[in-house]
Amino acid sequence: MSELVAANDLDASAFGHVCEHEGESRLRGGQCIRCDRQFFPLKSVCPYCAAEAVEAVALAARGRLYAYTTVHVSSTHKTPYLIGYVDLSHNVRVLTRLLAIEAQLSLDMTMKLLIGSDGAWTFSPCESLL
Amino acid sequence: MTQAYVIGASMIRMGKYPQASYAGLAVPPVLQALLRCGLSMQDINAVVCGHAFGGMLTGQRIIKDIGLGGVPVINVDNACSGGATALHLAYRSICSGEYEAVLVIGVDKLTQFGTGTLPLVMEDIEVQNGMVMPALYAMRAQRYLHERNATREDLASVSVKARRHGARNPYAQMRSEVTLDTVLNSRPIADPLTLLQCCPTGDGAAALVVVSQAVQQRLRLPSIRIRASVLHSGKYDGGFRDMLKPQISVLTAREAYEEAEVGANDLDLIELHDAFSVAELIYYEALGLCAEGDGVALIHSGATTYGGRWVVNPSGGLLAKGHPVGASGVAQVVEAYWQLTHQAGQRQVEGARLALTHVTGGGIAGFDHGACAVHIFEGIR
Repeated sequence: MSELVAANDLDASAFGHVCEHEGESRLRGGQCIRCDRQFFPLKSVCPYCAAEAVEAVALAARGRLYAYTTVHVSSTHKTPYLIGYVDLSHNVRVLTRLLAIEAQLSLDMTMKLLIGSDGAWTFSPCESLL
Repeated sequence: MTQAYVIGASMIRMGKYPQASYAGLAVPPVLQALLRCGLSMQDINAVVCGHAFGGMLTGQRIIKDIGLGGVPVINVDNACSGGATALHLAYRSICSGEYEAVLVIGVDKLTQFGTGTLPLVMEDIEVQNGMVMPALYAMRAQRYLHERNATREDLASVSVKARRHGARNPYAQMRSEVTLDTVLNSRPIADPLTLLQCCPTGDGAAALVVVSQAVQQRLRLPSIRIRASVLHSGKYDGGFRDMLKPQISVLTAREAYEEAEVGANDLDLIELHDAFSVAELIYYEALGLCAEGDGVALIHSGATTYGGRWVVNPSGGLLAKGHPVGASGVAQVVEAYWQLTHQAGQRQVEGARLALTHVTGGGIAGFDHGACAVHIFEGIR
């Protein structure tokens, strides 16, 4: 499912943030061939060790909610909205919009990825990491 | 290597000056800083101007109004650390013997964006997904409440202290005291942070004259010696960062203490980067004022206000004095200069001899902050 990434960061739209993996949509990250670390979003150079040896990788679909907030004032987005950090496997933390009401949320709870038909992605509470 | 001294310092009262130009904001403190030390334009070898939103040639637009052309002008953006970075560059150029006298300017005008959150760079994926600076600090606050077993009242008490200090500072944007209830009941910005736990939108400018030891000894004016000047950038870590441990501030402060050969307990006052209430509690730990987990106890003990071991943010800090981002790092040093030369009026910290200033700045995905600068000063009277 992985592809070796050519150096094409001059076109930031070349890779979407979403990929297909075993029949379901996932976030597309990078996996460094040299230092073995994963990161998001995918880039052609590893941000940890600068190796130009990166494979695309489908990130975990579920993770834990590290922190979240309801934003009431923003210079870029219509308010209010919920955002949070979700910790996926392989030490990848993703800042994401959250599809939930704040009362449903608690720290360290499990979350799963949801991808809309337009490719927009968000995370929502779920029962477990499995 | 020679040493560097601040021998002139000035700022305007921070506030909303929507009709002012960048030069209009900065020229008055520049002239005051020069006047105070008796230096003329001809004595200045170079100008370093810190700002984040001034646009092209901000420094030149200021000096062209006062006949200070020809000398090298360096314009520095480093988000909230821009002004302190300008001082760092001036310090290094004097210590290396390159220059004898450098003018440092910090200036920004946030009212150009109206109200609301600081505009961040849309190239960044977190910004695209809705990140704004209050949200970053709000998530820190949420983790702080959770992991330090703290309350919303504990967070709000930082703002109460800041406004109490700011009420005695004629240069502060916010000059009224507030109660805990007022802070908690102000409108929500990013939960759990309310309006009065966020630095206000405003404009401002500050200026310093930094000179070599030879010039300082010739002029024999009240001055402050720069004992340490340390600058770091963030380091990428897109993984499971501990949001309560700002690595860049911990590292920068540790190196500054080593360079100055002092410890936190030797300081009399500290101006730290309280852009949001929770930041002060986190930076108590990062700057070594208390052990991990003891920040709430520290503020409630009175150790960080008048009569305590240190006065933290005697100026009112960013929460009360205001935070025109590129100006703040210089304005903190103006406060340190006034305090350490005992010119701080009714907010004077008694017997103040050593001060530390700390700014961080910038929201970029994968960094805890983009830049951080820490300075330590000693008063020479």
